[in-house]
Amino acid sequence: MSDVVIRCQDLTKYYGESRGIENLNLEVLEGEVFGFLGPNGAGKTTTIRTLLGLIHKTSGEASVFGLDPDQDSLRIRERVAYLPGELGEFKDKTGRRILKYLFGLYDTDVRWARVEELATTLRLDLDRNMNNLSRGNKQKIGVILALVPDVELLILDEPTAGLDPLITQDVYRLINEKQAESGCTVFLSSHMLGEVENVASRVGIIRNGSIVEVATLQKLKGLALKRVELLFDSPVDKAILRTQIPADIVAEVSIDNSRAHFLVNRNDLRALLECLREVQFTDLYITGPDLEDIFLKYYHGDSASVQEEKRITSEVS
Amino acid sequence: MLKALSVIIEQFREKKWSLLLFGGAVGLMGLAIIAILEYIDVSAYADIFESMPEFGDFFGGFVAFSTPYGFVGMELFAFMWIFVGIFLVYMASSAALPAEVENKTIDLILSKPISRSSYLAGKIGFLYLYIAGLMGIVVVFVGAGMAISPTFIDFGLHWDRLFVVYGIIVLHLGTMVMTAVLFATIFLDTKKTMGAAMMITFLMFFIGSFWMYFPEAQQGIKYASTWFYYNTTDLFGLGIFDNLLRDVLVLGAVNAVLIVASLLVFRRRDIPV
Repeated sequence: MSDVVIRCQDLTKYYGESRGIENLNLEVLEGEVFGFLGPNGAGKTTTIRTLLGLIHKTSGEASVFGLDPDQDSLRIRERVAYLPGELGEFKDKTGRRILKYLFGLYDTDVRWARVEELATTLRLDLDRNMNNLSRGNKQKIGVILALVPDVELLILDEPTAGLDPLITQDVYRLINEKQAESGCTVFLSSHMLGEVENVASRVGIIRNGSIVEVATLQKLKGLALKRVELLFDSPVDKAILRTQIPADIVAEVSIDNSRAHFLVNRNDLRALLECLREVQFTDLYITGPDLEDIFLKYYHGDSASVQEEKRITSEVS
Repeated sequence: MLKALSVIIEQFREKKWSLLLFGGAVGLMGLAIIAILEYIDVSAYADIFESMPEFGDFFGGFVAFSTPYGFVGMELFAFMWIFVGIFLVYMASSAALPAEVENKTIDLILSKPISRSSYLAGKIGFLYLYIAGLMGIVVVFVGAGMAISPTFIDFGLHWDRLFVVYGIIVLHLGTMVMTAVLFATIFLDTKKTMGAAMMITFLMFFIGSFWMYFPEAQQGIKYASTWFYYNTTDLFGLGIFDNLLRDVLVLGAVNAVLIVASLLVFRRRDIPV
């Protein structure tokens, strides 16, 4: 059995009256890539900042490498590299100077050749002033800061925020390579289901400050819904359209002038398309739902299909 | 220790130009004040002050004001808390910590293996070195001015006065700056820190400068003000060092208490997003 690297038990953090996280329970195992999924404001960053000792818990227990972040934060941080969601404004400094300063705070020497190599891969000019860098390029500096040190745990909070799709792919490839080479544990927070899907072996879903599901990727894929969007040339008659869309297999139906969208279980896609044969749409898009859709469907929904979906995925897992 | 040094070096890289330019500007002002001495007869002020003894006492006695040392002490060193101190409080209110919070860089820095104490110690160390460096530049200018000023040469060159006044100013500015650092650890906000630190500064100035006008029973409050221990007229103007040890110890202790309090507060503080 793998060792537990991160453990949270009934972890709660309140900012005055506001809830940050509440009774959060979580275990991340050594050597795994754990996706920490949730919409903005769900409590992902609060959890991470509590684990790093940047903020102090209100109640409950948290440990990283068996150490209490409130008491042994420094010993934890010696073994962790962290990429915050927002790198911040290091005004009037070049990327190279920021990297030298921050790597200088580690006890061990950092391989500068690796820094240059990553900068080349990410197409980042280290000698440009931070004031002149786009958000994406700033984030690349954060990626280098996270990936170069030899650490046992990588904590990445929205690592690809602001990056273009090509660089995003590179970043996830680099994370995978780093994990494969060093065997380090990766704790990856994101609100992008599709991105986490590419790297994580297990995911935890946080909503309103609490974990609502911890599942393997396989199980999460089983949970997946599809978002269907229909576009029309001219405004449609909502009442007629509603009769043409099979209410028993779709959910979250929304119709406006010349556009309609709804969610459907992917097993029901064929049946849906049969029903839509008579509908005069001009375009049809079938996409993966965003995470919020899944939350709405699976954690607020109470229809029979939801229960059925959960039963099926339980059997799969 | 080495990590605190990294923080100090980084801070100096950021602020080196402000140190040189501002130090040079205040130093040139000191030089200009010394140059003025060549065109005025400060000994003539003695007659004026003799006719207004209370006015003379308020400024440390007519002797202090009617000598070249008294004149420079009065016009430059006594007001150093205004010329330099307010700028330093502003800088400390921002650079100590709030700027890192407001620029959202503090998470990244404190996620590295540096203890909060070492980090803050680096910031505090930088601020002391900055004060010492800034005043060092000013004192070099003033010293150069004294060395070439016929008035000072005629009166006699007392380098010990310059050295001592340098030390007491650094300590006194240190108390102002460390007050800002303490509030910075409490508020982690530039404006609130600046406001609170300036309020304390003016309160201290008021008590330390006007205590003699309080009712006699309440005049003991003067000992609570750091301005009471900041007497550049005695040190530079008159060359009286009788209370020097007391002043150094008290100002040193105030600095130490403020540093320890800042470290204790910062260790327990939640870092805001």
